[in-house]
Amino acid sequence: MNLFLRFLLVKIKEYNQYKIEYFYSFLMLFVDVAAVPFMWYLITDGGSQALFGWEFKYLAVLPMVFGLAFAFAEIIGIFDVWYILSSSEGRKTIVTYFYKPVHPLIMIYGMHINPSSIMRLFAQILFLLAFMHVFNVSLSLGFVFLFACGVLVLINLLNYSVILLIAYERSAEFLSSIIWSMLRYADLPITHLKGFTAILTTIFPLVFIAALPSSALFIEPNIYEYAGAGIAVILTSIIYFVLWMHVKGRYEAVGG
Amino acid sequence: MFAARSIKASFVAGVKTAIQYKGNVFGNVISSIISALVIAFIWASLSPQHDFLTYFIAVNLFIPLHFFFSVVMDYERKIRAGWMLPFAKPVGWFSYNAFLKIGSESVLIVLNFIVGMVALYLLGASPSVPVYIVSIIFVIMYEICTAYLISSLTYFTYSVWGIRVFYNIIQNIFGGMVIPLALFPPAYLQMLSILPFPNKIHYIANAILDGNFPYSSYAVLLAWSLLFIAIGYAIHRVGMRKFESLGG
Repeated sequence: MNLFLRFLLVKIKEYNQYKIEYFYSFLMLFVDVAAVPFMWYLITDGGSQALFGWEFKYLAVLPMVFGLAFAFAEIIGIFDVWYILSSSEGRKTIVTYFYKPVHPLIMIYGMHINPSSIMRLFAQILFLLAFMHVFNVSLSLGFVFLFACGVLVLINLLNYSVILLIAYERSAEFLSSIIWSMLRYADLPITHLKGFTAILTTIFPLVFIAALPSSALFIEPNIYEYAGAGIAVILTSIIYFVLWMHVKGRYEAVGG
Repeated sequence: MFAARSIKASFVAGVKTAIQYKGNVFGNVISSIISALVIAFIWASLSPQHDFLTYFIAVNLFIPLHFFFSVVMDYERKIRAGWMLPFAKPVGWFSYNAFLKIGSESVLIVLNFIVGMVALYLLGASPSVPVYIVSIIFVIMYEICTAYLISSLTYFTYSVWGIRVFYNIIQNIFGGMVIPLALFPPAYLQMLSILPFPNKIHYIANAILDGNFPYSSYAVLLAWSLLFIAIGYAIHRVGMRKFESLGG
């Protein structure tokens, strides 16, 4: 663990050299708390009319909650890990992580921790609290539970592509490109969709990332939503565990 | 003549590289289809009176968004690697990367074109092939110029990853990739029209479906391309001088 903490400190010091990443986090914060909510404000005619039955305040909070989940995932540098592993050098060096005293995935994330996202996360929490104060919304236990489930599902999902990248090299691009292209749909009001679309959006766990926790700010979740979120976390965790054992087995089989 | 041969060689190398990684090509086409269907079903469910399915298929299957990012990433790596081999190539590193990527992405573009056309004809739409071909040339030109500008920042920022991600998200939101711009108030849409994003996604997708050439979008893309090339050229020159003064 000492080694992990030392890596973490080195990473924070290294990051401080590249101020541009802090600037990037500021830009992303701007998108989540200003640009997208402003767009919903315009589409709902200055916030006065509902869009597809949703009020402006519900639409505006979606990107804020999505940004929170995204910042959580980014803190462990998961996108950086993708980028590093997608190079041939990155794939070669991955083997060395298996000899470290902590879990290789934790080691990989420790090496790529993203301090600028920590800053973004705190700023985003502040903006969300301010928004809730303005619209007189109180934080419910349902929101906290569903949001935590959303973050866990997102991290599990992203872990798959890291694991597949380690095991099969380039084949994980398929999964990562789907995740990339769909993540932003969490900005849309996708809860309460009907029929096939509802199933489709639930399969890709967008609902748990932003839409479901956001609606929990305004409407108390029902028992099915709690159960669904819990099952999603358990299922994705089991898949993660099976995939990880498979990858570990592959490396040990070739003498790793 | 020599440069033309080198450009052709870069292009062919790109095509061959793409064909080697069949899984990636297949994955990109499949993810485009899934992406188009999910976003179209979401909006069709929210607003049944609009025909968003054909719009989003046109957007997702016809616009080669991945292209720009791969050019920036590869060129950024070359700059960071210290320009180890730039003078060994008969064309400049940027041209080499650009034509390599045009080659590798052309495989994806052709596959997406076939799948997209079939999907649209099955849905009863009649997309215009000439509009598609001319539009794709303008979009590629714009993408290359943007890649040239963004990659020039590598000299000063070391990494342009964050800038690329931000650009992609802004483009998705304000270009009509995620939220159909048809829902926007007309005054706001008019304001957005001076930006390149709706002109390379929203207007072009609609033009392919309508069959009318979007001349004003071409003009906007051309203007932004020229601006990006001019700024990018100046930054590259300053960056190169900085690089050479350090012994690069």
